[in-house]
Amino acid sequence: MALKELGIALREAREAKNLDIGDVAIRIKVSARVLRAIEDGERDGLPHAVYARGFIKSYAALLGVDNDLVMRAVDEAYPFEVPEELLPETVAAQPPARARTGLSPVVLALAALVLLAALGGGWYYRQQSTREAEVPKVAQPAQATQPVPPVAPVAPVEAEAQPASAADAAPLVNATVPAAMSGATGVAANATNAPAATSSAPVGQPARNATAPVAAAASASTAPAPAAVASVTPAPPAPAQASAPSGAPQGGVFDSEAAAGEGADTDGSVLAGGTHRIVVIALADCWVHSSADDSDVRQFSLHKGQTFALTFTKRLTLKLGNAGGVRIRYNGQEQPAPGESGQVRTLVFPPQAQ
Amino acid sequence: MAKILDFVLGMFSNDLAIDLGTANTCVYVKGQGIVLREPSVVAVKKDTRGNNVVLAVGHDAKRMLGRTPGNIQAIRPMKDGVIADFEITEAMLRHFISKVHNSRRLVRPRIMICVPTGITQVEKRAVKESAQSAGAREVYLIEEPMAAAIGANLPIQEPTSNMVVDIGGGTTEVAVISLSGIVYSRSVRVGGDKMDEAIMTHVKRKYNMLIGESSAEEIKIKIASAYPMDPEQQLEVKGRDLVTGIPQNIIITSEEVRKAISEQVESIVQAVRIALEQTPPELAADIVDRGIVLTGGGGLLKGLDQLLREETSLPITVVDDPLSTVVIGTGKALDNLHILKEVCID
Repeated sequence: MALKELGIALREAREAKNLDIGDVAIRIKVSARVLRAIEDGERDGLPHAVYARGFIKSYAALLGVDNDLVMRAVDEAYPFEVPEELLPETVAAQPPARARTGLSPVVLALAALVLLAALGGGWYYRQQSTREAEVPKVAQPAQATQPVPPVAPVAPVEAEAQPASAADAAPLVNATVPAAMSGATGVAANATNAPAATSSAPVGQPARNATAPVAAAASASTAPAPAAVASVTPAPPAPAQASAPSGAPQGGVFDSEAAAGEGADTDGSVLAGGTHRIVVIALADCWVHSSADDSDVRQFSLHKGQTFALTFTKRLTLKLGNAGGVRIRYNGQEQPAPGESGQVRTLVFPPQAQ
Repeated sequence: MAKILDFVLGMFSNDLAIDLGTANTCVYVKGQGIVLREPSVVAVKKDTRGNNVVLAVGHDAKRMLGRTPGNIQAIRPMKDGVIADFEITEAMLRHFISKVHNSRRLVRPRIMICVPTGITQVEKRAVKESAQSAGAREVYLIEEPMAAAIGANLPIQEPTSNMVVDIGGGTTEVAVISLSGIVYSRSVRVGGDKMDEAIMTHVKRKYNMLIGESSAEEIKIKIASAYPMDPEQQLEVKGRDLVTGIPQNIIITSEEVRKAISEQVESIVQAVRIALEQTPPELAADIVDRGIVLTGGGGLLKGLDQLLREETSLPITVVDDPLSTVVIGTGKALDNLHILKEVCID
């Protein structure tokens, strides 16, 4: 019902009650002019919405017109009781209202920032933690692939015994090692001093060479024996090592003691599954950086007497900080000395990939 | 810097408008409307160490009013529109604020509270400080008639006069507003509460019967009127006989209630009359056309508009929802604080 219809209804009700405008004006104290405007439905003649609503209501109440009907009409006529005066401001004042939607980009930006920071922090933390975990983690593959070394019969040592280099090699391994044994060590360790001997040696031999002395060195403390005995003694320490690599994930870096067991099983030239095996034996402190199959990157420092074993399938890049301080055995084969002491060298395996 | 901080906090805070009334407290949350309307009653219990512990607030506390054992007290902390008990008011405000603001404890809300016109600086300070200690970040005060006018959607910014009569629980405010300012205002400490008291006194005198505040209020709401009603009504009232001391029932009629509260009604009419007398002539001329707007719970008193109409010969308009007009106006002022800041007082 529009304002006009409401006005007509009110007029009819008034006429039915036999009242004239003046009577109504006296009763409800609304001026006759305004009452006429209500009956004619003239919005211009009515005062401000709030007052007009009130006047219509009291007029309808006086005439006993259905209140709900009137209220609906009034609500229709004055849909939202937003005063016109406030309206422009309220539109201008939308900022509070719009501020809610308008601010949301700011809130969104803030949220995005926080999210980014959280992601960045998470990434950095991961980086940090992987870096920390790197050394123990990457050391494992070498061990995992390592079978429990059988107690290999150790080859006679006397053939490789090189008295010439014994003197300078002996202090490297163990001061208490008898001459024959340290001589054996000398062969392997002292690649620089006797390159001919190692290069000419058969494939299987150098490995034994290495194992024999180291194992001997290990056993030396318990049983200081002549060279002839040394060839037999490796047997007892070997089982002890056999359990060490399989049980304790200590990483690829072993003491010279551990190397004995390792060396014993590196007999085969190439391990099963086409994996290659590199054993780095440190004669002096050496920093090593290795990248196996271009994925497994690790760096560590080897201390004098430690041995590190690495396996890879395709390609291994080995960077040595002290090329003269290590001895490298590749698939059980003694390699020529990588370089001078203190020299930085990068080696690639297998050698043909160079 | 403070401005930026305020802006940032503003994004997260839910600003509140509170009508801290003598009888009822309404809370309006910015952007949500009225979320709470509860009686301004707090029930406190004295613990073993003699400290007051708030037991209930609002409706629950009102049910306890006059029915409490010795160690529990149901208190109405507001009297005559101002704070009578600072600590209890603070506890009540805190309760209401936490009720509507529960999930956003981190950022404290800005609160706008309406106060009667003509309250003293001390009383203003009490309101401000109790709101601050109840957890408000900032407190704005607005005068009740101004809030009522805004809530009633009156064209207050026009250079024409608007006369508002806000009859609350404790006070009746009469104000003439023009150009967003109060031209004349008068506050009389007469309201619904005084009518309740008058009804209690009347029942006591006439029937030798004691009734409680709640019963008196019930009588007022159900059958009280300011102008003769067409069919006069009656109501059964329960109370305690003063002579025998035995609870009993009596029947009370609307006519005698009207007589009982006539003194209070008369002082309201008188306040309006005085206001009209004091209004500058140009504005008085506007009032003839537009009349008076009645807001507040007292506006619901039957026949009051008719009585004022007779007494002033002016058109009287009762707003649609008299109980919430003030808090809606306060909320609107809060929503448009940058525009309506001028209507706030210190």
